[in-house]
Amino acid sequence: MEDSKKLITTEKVKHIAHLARIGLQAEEVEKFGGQLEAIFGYMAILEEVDTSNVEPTTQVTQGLKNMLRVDEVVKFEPQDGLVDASPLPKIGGQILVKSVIQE
Amino acid sequence: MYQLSLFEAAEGIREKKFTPSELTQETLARIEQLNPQINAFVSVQKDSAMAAAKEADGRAEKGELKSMIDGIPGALKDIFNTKDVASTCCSRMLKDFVPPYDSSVVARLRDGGMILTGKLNMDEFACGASTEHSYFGVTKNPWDLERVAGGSSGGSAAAIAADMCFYTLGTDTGGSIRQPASLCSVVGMKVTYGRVSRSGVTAMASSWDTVGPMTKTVRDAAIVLQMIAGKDPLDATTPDIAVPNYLENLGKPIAGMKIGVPKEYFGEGIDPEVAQTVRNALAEYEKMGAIIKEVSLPYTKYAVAVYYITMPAELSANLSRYDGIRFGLKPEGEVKELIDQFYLTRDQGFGDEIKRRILIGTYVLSAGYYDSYYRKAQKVRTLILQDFENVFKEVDVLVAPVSPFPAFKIGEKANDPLAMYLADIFTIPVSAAGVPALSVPCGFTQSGLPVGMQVIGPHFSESLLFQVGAAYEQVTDWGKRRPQL
Repeated sequence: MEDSKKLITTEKVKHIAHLARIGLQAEEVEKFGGQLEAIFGYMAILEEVDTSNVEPTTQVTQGLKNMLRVDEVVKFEPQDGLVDASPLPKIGGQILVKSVIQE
Repeated sequence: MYQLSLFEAAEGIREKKFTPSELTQETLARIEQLNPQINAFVSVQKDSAMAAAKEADGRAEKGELKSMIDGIPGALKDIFNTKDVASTCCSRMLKDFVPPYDSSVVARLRDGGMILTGKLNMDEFACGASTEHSYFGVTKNPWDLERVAGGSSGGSAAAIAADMCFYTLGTDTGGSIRQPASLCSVVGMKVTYGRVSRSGVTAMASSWDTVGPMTKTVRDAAIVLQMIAGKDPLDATTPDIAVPNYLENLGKPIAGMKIGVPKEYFGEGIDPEVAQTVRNALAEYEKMGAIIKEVSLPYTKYAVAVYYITMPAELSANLSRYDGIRFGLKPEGEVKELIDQFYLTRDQGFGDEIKRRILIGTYVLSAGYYDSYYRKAQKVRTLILQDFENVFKEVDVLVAPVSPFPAFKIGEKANDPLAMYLADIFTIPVSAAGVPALSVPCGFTQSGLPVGMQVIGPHFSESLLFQVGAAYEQVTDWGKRRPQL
């Protein structure tokens, strides 16, 4: 099918990949585009369902609302363990990342 | 000893027929012998297991065992955080991740004297129905090494089926405990959503994920669930609902119980041998005095679409944290700016299935599409939930197949993601409603492949499910069969 007639165009795949911060290769863009086209084609089945008077479900266990806890600070031990998990260089208990703001 | 159930092993230790060290030694030897063929375990913790066993020996000697699982080798799907032990979710992204803390359920098991032998294979980030999407290779089905063990808890199911440990934990989001249990002839339970804490368990789809036991018998599953069920302040989705004594109703008769058979689960698309095997099980229930009644769950056919819209949306949100900063892969290639870090880490760290699902999820949540996809799916989810609420006014439990087909050949569905998604057609609706379901072996196909059935009940009816499952187990002996290894 011609790209512009598709539901999931190449531009769309690239846009979504950018939103999801995944650096896709060119062949991946094409492959996933085709697969997503088929998958979303299947999803159209939901259009059959009349949901005009239905509330969405976001929480399946009944009755849970605004679960609160006491606002007290508990120190996590071992603190080093958390920073150690990073694959990046560390300086003084902090993780060194690439600059965000360019000159 | 390795062929014993968890319950029998506990008895053996209590009666001093053998020690935890002897049991653990034999288990580790069996893992070493069989794992090269099966690939159920992705890591084995020999030394710490033997050390824990030695401590348990002391308790057994003095008659001071901490629980029914004390001193007995178990294993965990690699999605559970285990302190100082790699917890990779079988993804390249987390291949070197060593958590500094235990998940809540692991802490509970350790308090009970768990002997952790190793971590088990799974589809990457729990995304799959065959364990073919693991960074560490596929897990083979012990009943036929050319076939899949199911997924995403394939390693867990295979380990139990091959007597490589006495109990495991898995996770079930859309069928990931029940389907591999069914394909490998073991018992697996998807609990009510919120029954078991998910704190420290890597999140896949937060409104669908559950944690549950996978074992050789129904009683064993009840023993393990007793250890892990209950409110956890660290998981806000666990309600303050009392945990009953799960062993209490085992062995109680089920005469007069109403068992519903949902007609939508026996329609076209189901392998006739699977359908017949489950119907034979229903005949056994009838002999025991249960009342079998055909029922309908009209919104069943929309469940897969609902799931594959909402689950990827939630997955994409949960996986957005994998940016290679606090944890995750260090990517290969030049990283000039921070955004390159993200692009590269996520391209290299995630497998195809994960990328596919993140793309689906990001799309359905993006501006302009949220209402037509995500919100619509959430509404249809309500209708599926109501199907179950309505049917449980007519019957006590439902009995249905788990998988439309027995274990398929490795690679058979690799090129058709949609075909793989449709494998979950009978397990997803249960997950949509958040109700519990117990997968119990109910026979084999002509060619010797396992078939499982699921007993489904209302929210928080796990006791009832154990009772109904155990009743069937008592009059059959599928659980005594072992694969030829």
